[in-house]
Amino acid sequence: MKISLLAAFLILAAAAGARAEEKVKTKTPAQTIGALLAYTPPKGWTAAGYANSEGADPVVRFEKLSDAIVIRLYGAPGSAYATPKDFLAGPAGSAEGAAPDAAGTALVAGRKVELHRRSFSIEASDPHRPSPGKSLKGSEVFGVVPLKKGRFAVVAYRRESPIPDLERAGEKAWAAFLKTVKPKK
Amino acid sequence: MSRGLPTVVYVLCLAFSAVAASAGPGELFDARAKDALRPGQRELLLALDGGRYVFENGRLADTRASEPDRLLTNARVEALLAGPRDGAALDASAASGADPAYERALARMPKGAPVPQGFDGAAAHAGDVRGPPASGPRGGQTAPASADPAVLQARLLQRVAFKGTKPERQAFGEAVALIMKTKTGSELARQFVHESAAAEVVIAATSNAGSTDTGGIPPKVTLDRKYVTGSNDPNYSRIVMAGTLAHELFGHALETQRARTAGFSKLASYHYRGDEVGSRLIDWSVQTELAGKVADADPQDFLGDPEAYYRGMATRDPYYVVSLSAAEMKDPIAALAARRALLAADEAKTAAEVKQTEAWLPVIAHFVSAHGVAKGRFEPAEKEIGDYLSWGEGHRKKLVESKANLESHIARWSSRAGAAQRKELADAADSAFLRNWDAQLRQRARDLTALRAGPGGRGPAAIEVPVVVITAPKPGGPPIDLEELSRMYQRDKKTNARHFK
Repeated sequence: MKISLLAAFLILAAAAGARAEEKVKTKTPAQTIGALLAYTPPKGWTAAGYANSEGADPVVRFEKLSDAIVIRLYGAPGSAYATPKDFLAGPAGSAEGAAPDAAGTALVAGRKVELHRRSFSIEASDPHRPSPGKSLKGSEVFGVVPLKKGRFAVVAYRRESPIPDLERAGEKAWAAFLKTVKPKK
Repeated sequence: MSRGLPTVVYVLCLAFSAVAASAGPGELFDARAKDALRPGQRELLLALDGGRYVFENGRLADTRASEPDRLLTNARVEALLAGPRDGAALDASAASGADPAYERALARMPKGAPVPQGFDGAAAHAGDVRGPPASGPRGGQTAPASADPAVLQARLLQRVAFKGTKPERQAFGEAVALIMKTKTGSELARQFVHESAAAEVVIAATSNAGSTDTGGIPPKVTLDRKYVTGSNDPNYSRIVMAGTLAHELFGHALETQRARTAGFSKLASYHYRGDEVGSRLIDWSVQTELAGKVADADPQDFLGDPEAYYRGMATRDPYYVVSLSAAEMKDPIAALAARRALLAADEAKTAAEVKQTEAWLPVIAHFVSAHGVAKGRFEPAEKEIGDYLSWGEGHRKKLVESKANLESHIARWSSRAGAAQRKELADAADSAFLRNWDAQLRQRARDLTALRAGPGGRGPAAIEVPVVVITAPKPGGPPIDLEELSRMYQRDKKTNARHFK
């Protein structure tokens, strides 16, 4: 009888575990990030989510024409970057291996966050142009926001065009967005 | 085994027919006999074991042997050409399956005229060379092809036929020699030889820097002629050409043959998104090893955010819009249908950008007329505007083509006839071959990240990409680019709000 009860308990526990695992697996990038960081997406921007590092590094992205605001979450097991220091030294946080340019600071939930700027290629199609020349570059401003459990978010504004916006609508949306970002406790 | 054994016999017959036809196996080898050696075989023999063998009056002598075994017989030369160190590999080819179709194609490749030796010995004799394929098992195992770089290079060139003019051949030879100087390139060359891969390389005027026709046997690689003639910086061209050649040869061409040998779906191979990115990773690694940087692209974008990179690729070219991840192959229609929104967003974005770019022209006109800024100073800004408008025009055309290709694939795969293709893709998605390919790609990305972080990653650059520097001062002050124009515009808007109503 004891054995049967134990077996039943184990079966139930396994089923509960499987359900929990299923639940974790089906969490969207926005849900994973949302559990650690509160923010208000810019109004009228399109949202998309995906993940790198086989799911360990979720990303949410809001975009409107050539402007994008991106939140990347790192520091989970299997993440490409365990710490903000690793991130800033790696390809996602450096400018061709060098430190990115300083771009001032921003107040995020009352804390001063250093901002960095780097450029990126907006032409992903032709990896080898046969003659040297200036390629079309966009620019990204980003800052690292520490979160609980060793996680950290990288919040970024990307101008995915070499052409500045006359009205700087993207920059204004970014400034407004930063005011809404708040790490969850 | 039943497939491999005839292959070995065929290969041996193909490779050594010239030697065997000249005399009996026990007789002394004579290089002066008609067709005793195929092009490239002389160089290979001389490169073996660090120059152990030398020619003496047409005979081949082993400098480490004493009489009476010093001069080699036909049988010994045959064994050397086959690669005695690769003996195990020849046996193993029975298991791995050197592809008879490749061997037949290799035999059909035209002979080329010898060219002067000028760059790392055998490299100058690149291409148009046929010889004994050294086959062996693929994947994971150490390729037994010679550890001697010169021999490896010679063996590689025996498997790559080159068609082109003398200067083109010279450039090709230099590119191969440069590739062989890198760890990435020499390891992949070893695999290429070991797996009995083959390719044909030509240089032609093309809109792409490089491409590979994987439909042919062997695959045909085309490199842009501008690498040889069109660049104002030959050093830049050399490095980038080496990267491009490695991309095409060890990326697309080698993977195509691997897929064929493994019986992996050709359709899945065509659609797998890692085929292109894996080839790029090879190119970037070779360039980084050679020059400490990648001159013509930015691997940081892929390494930093791979999924965003794939997403970006989808709207950049009609081919990439139908490329798929392993997971997407399970439901390709859903994956492609989701890309409709991506294309539509990009279309809207490009249209808006073009409009926005044009909007800077009246701003320039304003500063010229209302503020008296010399028109010539805006040359950099005008060039940026022109460049973007020209790119935008090309990009819009590509979006139209991409949309057509996307819809055609969705229609095909939605039809009854497309069900078989969908199943083929779904089966491929779960295959060990694709899992390995995916894993190999991730490993390459890790290796490149480590390479870039290491001392050589940003080491002394062998090449310097020329930067456009405006030396002639423009009348009336320094030149103004778009960034500066944007600042001027913001300042003017604040102080002279009425200017921009």
